[in-house]
Amino acid sequence: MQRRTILKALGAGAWTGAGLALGGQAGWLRAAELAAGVPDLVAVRNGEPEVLFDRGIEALGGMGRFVKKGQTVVVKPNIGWNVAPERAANTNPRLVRRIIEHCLQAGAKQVYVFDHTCDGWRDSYRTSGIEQAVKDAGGKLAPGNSESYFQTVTVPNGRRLREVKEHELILQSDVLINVPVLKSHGGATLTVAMKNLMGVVWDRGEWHANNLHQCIADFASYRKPDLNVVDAWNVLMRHGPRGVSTADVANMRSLLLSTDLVTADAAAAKLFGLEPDAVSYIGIAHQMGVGRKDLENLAIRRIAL
Amino acid sequence: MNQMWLKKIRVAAALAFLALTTLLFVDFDRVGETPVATAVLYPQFVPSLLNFTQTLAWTATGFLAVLALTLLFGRVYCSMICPLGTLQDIVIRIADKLRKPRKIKFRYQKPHDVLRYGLLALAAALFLSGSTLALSLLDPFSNFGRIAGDLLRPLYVAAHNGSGQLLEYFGAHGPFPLHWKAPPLVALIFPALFLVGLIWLSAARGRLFCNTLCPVGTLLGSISRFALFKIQIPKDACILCAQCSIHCKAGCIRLKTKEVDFSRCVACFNCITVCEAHGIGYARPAPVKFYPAPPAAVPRLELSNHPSASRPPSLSKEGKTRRALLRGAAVTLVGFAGLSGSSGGEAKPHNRIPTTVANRRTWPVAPPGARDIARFNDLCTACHLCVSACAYGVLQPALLDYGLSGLLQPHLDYASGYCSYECNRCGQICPTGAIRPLDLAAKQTVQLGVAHFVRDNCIVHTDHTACGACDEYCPTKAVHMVPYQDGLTIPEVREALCIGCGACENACPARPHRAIYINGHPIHQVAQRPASKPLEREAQGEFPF
Repeated sequence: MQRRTILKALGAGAWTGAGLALGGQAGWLRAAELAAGVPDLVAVRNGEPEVLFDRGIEALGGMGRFVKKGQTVVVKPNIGWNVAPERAANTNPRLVRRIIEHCLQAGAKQVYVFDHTCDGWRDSYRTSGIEQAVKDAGGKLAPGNSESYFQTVTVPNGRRLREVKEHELILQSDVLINVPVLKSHGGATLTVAMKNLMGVVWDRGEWHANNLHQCIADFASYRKPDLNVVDAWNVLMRHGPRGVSTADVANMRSLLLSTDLVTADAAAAKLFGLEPDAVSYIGIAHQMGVGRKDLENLAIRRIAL
Repeated sequence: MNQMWLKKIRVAAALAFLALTTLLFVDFDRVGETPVATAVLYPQFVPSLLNFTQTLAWTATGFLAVLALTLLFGRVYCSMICPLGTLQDIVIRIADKLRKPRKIKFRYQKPHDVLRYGLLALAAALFLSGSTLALSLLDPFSNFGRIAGDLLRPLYVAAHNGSGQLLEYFGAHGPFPLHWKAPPLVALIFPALFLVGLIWLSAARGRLFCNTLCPVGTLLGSISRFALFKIQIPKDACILCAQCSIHCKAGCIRLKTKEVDFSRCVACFNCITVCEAHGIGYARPAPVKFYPAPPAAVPRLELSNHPSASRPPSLSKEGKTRRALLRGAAVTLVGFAGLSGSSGGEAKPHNRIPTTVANRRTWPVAPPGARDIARFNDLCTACHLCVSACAYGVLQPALLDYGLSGLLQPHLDYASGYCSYECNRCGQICPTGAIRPLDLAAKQTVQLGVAHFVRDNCIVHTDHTACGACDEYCPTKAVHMVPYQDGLTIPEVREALCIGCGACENACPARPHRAIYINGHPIHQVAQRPASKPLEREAQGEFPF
């Protein structure tokens, strides 16, 4: 309650431009940035998950840019696996909690969180710490493992994927915030923003059997999240996407934010130590015009804390 | 002699046992890991006896308590503890209400000694020679488990999920849906036929099942002959109103001689309640003159070798039940819509080019804690409590996977699910000890079988596109990806690390034959624990973009 009150104060301060609560320097920086235009990508490092997000979303213009009063929001973390947070196979629960708090702060009517998990969903929700995080933040955890929640939609620009069963919450909600965790991936090389959206569809086996990389890019062409927040605080460097032990995890203490999920993936690949072109679906999505992987031509705001 | 209160106690206890046992089977998530489970399972005769033969644990002494109780008061087990007995009592009561008034309900039945002792001997002999088949098919607890777990659970799940959907329809948030994975339909025929037969038999002949087919009933009956207290008709007080005999579900009261065949009495106490002379009830039997030894000592000698089971009775407010059932039916129908979805996944082939190489399995996969298949087959009575407990839906009743003797015993069906790396529930709950409890760390290295990779079925090979679903799910990285062609990677199995959990097989999208499958071990092995080398990583400098 107290935290929320403080957040409210922070938000009000920023929006009136008075900069009272934020302090003079931060307010000035923000004003300068808005004058220069909103960046295509924000990268923040060297901080706790909550702080990384606070600074990152501020640099993107604040959560109020994405969530309006009374809207319903879906926050889609990766909750694929029945493993503890320190294994970094799921999105960091602390980040999820902070994002929900910002959404509610911006006036969201309801913030839903779900994933079509790989391991058992009740176990994964619990073990990942996300169930508790959502509860603490005041969001609503929804189930994603019953086919009855999914509706068939067409993918107009899909080359391989023409039809897909999508979770109804995605269809019904006003805002989609995609919150992947950056991980190595045995089949897809790397899993970040585009791959994380596999958790809003029903039949993933079909993607695996029908050119996985093309299907990932196809779905990204259909549904672009309003905001992508890449959790790179703890990064599973090998044995992904599930990992075997904490020895597979590097503590990178970083966060990426972008409205373009191809850009987010390209930057995440660089952070991981790979060229974006080493991950097939990034190249395919760029070429299909889903988003941009050419980081060198984009406005990037780098924040080192 | 006023012993009217006995029946009230019996009814209350029976309903409590029936309700809790049913709940355990249909909603394991809620009650499976609570003291309720322990309380319900402790006195179940056959599971407890089987468990005790291996563990000698005090937690498995329930059957001894039942024997002691029987020696004191007869087959109290059959009317209070046995859920199948109570189920029959409910059927009997409903049938009674539907019967034409004035029609005689029950009358004295002759004992079927050859049949009942024959079946008891058969079950015991087969068990001792290493087959639980007869015991599985006759044991009341296991039969009840299959009725509740295999038949009732899907209805419960459908009703639960249906009510959730109704709530959501009205804008409220329902409870999280439950999941149920359909077993092979053939496996459902056994409990379904048994249930139909049981309903018919009990409606027509009362507790005849318990007094002819049930090995526990027969065993406890042979002991209750020597009970310290027996239900008796005081010959001088009896006015021959015949109410006791008419109301005796066991058909064990013979008016001609005013005698109760206590070996077949299930201790339902109905006779006590209806006796117009208020005379019938528990009493110390008169000493039998020609019987040389004190009777209580004799049965103990027989006990150790005999497996067995028994029967209880009970009643319910069936009018209410029927109305509740009707009300539930509508909701249940709604729920079925959601149910069908959660069990699917096998119907349509995923890949465009069907795979061609059949999987060659030589052994089924037995649950972790089974140790070896032969041992497991010798101890499991197929109550299916582990099937209810398995959150991942991988434990399913076998048909002939283990051979005839392992009929309906659970095996790991990787088309249905996979064995979660973080779960050891089946061993924790198994009431017979066929699946031994394993702590999680031990379970994570038990090798149930080993994965076999079939390159000619693999999507990477046939379609020349990336997949890696098997590698994704593998918890130990026994399955990992190695370079193939054109930057693609293809799976490889390191058998020493494989625990045979089947996550790879379950995830593999190749159809009709999967590209990776588990062949079970007849004797479970120990896998290597995955090593965790530290990462080699350069310290991070600036942002790399």
